[in-house]
Amino acid sequence: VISDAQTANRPVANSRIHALRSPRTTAGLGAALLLILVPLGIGEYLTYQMAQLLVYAIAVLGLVLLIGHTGQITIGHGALFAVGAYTTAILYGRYDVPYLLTIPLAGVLTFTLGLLLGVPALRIRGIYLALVTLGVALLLTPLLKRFKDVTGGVFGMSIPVPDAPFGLGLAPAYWVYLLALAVAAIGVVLIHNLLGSRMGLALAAVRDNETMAAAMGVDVRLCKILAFAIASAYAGVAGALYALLAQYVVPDAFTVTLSTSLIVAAMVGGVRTISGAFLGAAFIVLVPDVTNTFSHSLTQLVMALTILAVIFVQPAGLVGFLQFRFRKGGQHE
Amino acid sequence: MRSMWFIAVAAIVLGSACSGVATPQAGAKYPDQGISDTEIKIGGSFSFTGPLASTAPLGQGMAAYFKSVNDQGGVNGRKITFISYDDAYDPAKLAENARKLNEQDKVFAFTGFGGTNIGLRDYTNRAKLPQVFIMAGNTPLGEVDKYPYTRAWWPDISYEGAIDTRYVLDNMPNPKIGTLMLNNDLANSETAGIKATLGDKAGQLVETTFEPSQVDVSRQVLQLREAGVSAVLTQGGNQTINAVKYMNQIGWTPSVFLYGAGSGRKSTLGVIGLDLSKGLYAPLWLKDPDDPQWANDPGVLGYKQTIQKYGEGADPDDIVTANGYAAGEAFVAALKSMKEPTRQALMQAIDATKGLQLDMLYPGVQLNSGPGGRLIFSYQMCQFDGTSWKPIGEALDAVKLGLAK
Repeated sequence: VISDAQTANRPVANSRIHALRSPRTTAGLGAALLLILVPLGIGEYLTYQMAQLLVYAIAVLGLVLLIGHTGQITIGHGALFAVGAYTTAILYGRYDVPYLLTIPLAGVLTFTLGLLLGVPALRIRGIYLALVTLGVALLLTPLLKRFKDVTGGVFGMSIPVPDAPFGLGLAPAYWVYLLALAVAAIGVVLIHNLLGSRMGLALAAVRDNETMAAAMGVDVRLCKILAFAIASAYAGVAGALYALLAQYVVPDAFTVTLSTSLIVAAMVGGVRTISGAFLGAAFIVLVPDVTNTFSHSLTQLVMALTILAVIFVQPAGLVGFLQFRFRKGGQHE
Repeated sequence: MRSMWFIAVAAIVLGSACSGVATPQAGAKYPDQGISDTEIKIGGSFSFTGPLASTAPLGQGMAAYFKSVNDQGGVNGRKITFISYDDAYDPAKLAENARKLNEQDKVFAFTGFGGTNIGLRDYTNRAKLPQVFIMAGNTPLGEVDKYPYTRAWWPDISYEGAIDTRYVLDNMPNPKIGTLMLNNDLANSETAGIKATLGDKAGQLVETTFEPSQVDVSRQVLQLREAGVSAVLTQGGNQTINAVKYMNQIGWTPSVFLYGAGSGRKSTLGVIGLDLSKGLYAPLWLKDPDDPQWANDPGVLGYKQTIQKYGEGADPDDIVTANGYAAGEAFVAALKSMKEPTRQALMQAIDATKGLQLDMLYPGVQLNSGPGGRLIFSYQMCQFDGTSWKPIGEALDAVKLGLAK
């Protein structure tokens, strides 16, 4: 799946103009078609999991931008994910706003929230963003529990099944999978173009040496704030899709643990690469599912050991490991 | 590019056609999945890890009972296949497990632990998946009109709150009641029962709560003492243990009522220290397998043999194991009395339960289907004498007392 997603998006990477009729385009579209069709043969639950994988991958893409390319740490990514999820759940579940509309709305809201949080936190260098976002992550769950009338309280709220339009009669999990696939594709293209742009260079400069970047004329503060707001929007959009997929949101699903899981996904996958986001998401979705079948306590053990192994052996994550194995060239680096 | 769009749209339309084919074909004898002439598949989701991992023996006790039934020929010739997953008390993980069990493992019915099951009801009832013998005392799990496929195993905790409160009012002079409870819906449920019984004195109730992951509750204990509380009603495992220990440390001796489902002589009192536990109260509906008074009880002996043989390391002396085992007994009784092998018939069988005795139920407690689709309404108020849970008076029935409506 992951390599397909990569292939699918690589034409954009090279050049959008002269790649249109190249064999790579054809291969990419073939892969896209495959991604659209594959879930039809694997049953409802696996489709659900693949959709889940895409949802988390979208959120992790935000971390790739923020942690991998800007060098800032957020511990509140799960909280912004939750804001996105509750935006969709409340607007669609309580006020009958068309659910497709709630996805960009969640993105806009979390982008704005990212700006508001980022402006004070990023004025100062260092770990302030991490502290502020940790605060948000800790505060959000009790807040969601308190405003019971809107959020459904401790045991959350269910939302109606988002039916596919035009009477297509698709299984709900498959329909949300298609939505997530489309959003993920857009997300990949956007982040890829962003990283290839002047802003991408500026971000890399900020990450490597803030003083030097400032000396070269980069607006360090603006760069960091924008990167954080964009990363937040990725989390928000992913959260909105999550709500549509699970059709159920509950405060305890969005504790600090979710934030750390997303960071783990970014680290394990490879925090500086787009494909790493997908590998990392696959890791946090599929590993618990497989280990849970064998032993109930195996999951935490495997997770912990993998994280340690990644940090000690291959800090560039699974992507780095694969590139080392097959002696391939890097994606962005 | 246009042709590619065409292919994509065609693929989606084709997909929608195919997904229609995937619907299971209704068999004449077995219209529902997960049941055949030889097998019944049951799925479960438990807190094997996480903040409430002390409840893991619930799943182990149930699994052990199912295995012993299988060795004796199964349920009307059908062997039970029990698939259980860990949810670590995470509602999102629970929802995923239920999906996996229903959609991939194709189970006939689902069971599990925790008030987190409240959020799962929309899924199970939409999928017409029996969500039964759920080990949680939350009142909302009794909304059978709205959620016809959901039934709880544990009694409604509001009855327990009411029975504790009634006991305090009847037996203690000038009581002031305080609570030390989980900061979630479970506290709301039990507090509702307490307040209803207190009536116009409900305003005097002193409420304190803690998070499931919070272990140190000394602040709450001090708060209760400052407020002049004389009887404390508790929930939670580790928190209760720490609260009682701390009360001993600071030399404060209110009457403490443990949560019936979490009052194990070994797993709770043993950790507090049996000496320090002297005088604790608990409304019980199960026999505590660690209590010497049941050492020669045939039901308890049979239970212990089963756990030793099939428990895969589960502790037979833990009341939590006994709880899961008893749920397994009740589950098998319902499966046996199904009029036909359908999910609908399972729900009807549970609702038809009457006067059922189980090996591990406290003498005087029986299973009777009643308000909220619950099965257990009776409690035996007990006080710990340093060795044993001593019964005080007769078993109290929430239906007969007019507490359950």
